[in-house]
Amino acid sequence: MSTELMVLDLRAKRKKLWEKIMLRRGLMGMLIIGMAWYLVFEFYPMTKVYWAFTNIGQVAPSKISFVGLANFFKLFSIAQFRRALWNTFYISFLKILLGFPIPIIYALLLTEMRISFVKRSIQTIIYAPHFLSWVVVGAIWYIILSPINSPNAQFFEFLGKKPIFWWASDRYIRGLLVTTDIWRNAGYGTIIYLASIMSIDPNLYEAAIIDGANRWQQTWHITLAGIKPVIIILLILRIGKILNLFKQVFVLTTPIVRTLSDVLMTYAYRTGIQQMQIGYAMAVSLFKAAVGLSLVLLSNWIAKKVKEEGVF
Amino acid sequence: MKRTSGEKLFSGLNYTLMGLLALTMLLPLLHILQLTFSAHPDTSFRLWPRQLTLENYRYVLEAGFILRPLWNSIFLSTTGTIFSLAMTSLLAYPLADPDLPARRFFNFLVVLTIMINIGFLPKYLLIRDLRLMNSYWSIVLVGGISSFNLIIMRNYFQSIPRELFDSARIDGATERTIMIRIVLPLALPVMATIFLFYFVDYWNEYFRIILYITDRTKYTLQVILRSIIIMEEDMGGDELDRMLIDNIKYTTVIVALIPIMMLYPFLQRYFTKGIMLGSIKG
Repeated sequence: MSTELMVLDLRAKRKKLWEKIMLRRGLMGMLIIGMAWYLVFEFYPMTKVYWAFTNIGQVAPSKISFVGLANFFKLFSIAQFRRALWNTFYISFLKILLGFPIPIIYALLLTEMRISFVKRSIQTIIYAPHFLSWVVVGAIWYIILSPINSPNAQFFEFLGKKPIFWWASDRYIRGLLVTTDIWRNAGYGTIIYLASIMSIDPNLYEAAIIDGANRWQQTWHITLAGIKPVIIILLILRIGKILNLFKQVFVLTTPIVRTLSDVLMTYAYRTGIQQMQIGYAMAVSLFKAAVGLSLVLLSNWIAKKVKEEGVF
Repeated sequence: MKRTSGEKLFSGLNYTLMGLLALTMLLPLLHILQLTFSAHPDTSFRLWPRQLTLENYRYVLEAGFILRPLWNSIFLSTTGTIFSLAMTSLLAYPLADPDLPARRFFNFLVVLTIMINIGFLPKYLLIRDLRLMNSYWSIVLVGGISSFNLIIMRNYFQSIPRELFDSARIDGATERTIMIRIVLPLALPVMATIFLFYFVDYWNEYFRIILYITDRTKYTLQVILRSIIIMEEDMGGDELDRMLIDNIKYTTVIVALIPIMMLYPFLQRYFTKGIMLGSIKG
């Protein structure tokens, strides 16, 4: 093809694209409005990551300058940051260890229920707490577990002991965060497992019965084996979100138990919003975002390896 | 089919265990509910008020602690939900269209915002620079589109047969007509799902209100509720104060729950579909 023809071809292509756009003006209008929102409220803020490399917030506005990686070196020299990092991993790990298997167990038990009225009622009840805000969940458990005027106080009175103030106790706060998380979300988490159990071919069970498999063997070799891919994907996704621990901790904890419950995001909130150390808090956020993104990409890559299908 | 005694035992245990599990969710709520109707709210755990009364509600409403926050919550949730639903469907429609130029790129941008979360600090300063502090616009705009909801809706739009669009277009229909006459009626289930998701999100919102709103008259129920609950620690107070505060606590929990409980039957109809669409294919 000669250059002249190529130019013509390119022009024709451009014209075609332009015609396509003009033909669908309405469509483009919609796209532009929506994408304008993304530009202003998602991507423009993202450009501010450079703050992490400046001393903004520590000096007068006229003296702001780039300080390289100073904020990041500072992170690891500060005990509060190390503590928040450790707490984030520790609480998230506890939540996965104790909270991840529970929806699977609930789903298996629900599947074994044959009276559909009872089964549906229980499902209705255990899905519900997921839709309550952390504030309401917190309010309920603060009221029940309050050291005065509460069932908790009544219980300790019965034992003849001084009531424990659970929410203000370093010893129990992490346990409470894990328990309330399970209380609120484990029931809702069963939905996806129940759906994938339903999609298992019933012929497999019949064949297994003919082969003389008992119920435990059926559960292990057919049900659990059948939902294994879903379990793996969800576990990997969960690991990818380890650092996102925030809203629950922000709502449910008080400064009294900060030593054991301060996490990266609450630390970023205190340094960034309350103390206005913008550069430093941005470094905390960027560190969190970078580790979080690598965890997500890594876990998605593993998911692809496992199931030949990523999440994104 | 005959069942062995082992299976019967297991079945009995299973029903008991799941029943107890459901009770751990019901009992705390019922206990608090009865407290709000009790003339003598006391320490002991019970399911029925000691002496049935509506005084607590009357008192709390008259004292005016929660009327304003309640109105704020309703106002923010309804306007926010309408805005977000409109924005989300407006963008889901072109992103679902296979003819959209650079469609993969735009969809990638949306997914990117799920993967990269650089936190609230830049958004906070943006809102401050836009002078939107203390305005509900800050909350509605920052929460404008949830990428997760957008993807659910886009996937649903994609499942509508393209022939419908093409024939409408040949008949000379504009995008707006297609959207209103064809897409929205067909996508009613997903619209309802997303509407409920947004409403619950706005109703339950806490952090963004703490972040962007400092004017106490604009606080919502969630913010008020948390402050009363947490206040307990630094409050000695005499017996009367204590009872009043407790009453406000209990009634506010129940009032904050009511809309969610009212929407729950509808939510339950749709969220299974929503969660499957959202998490399987993303």
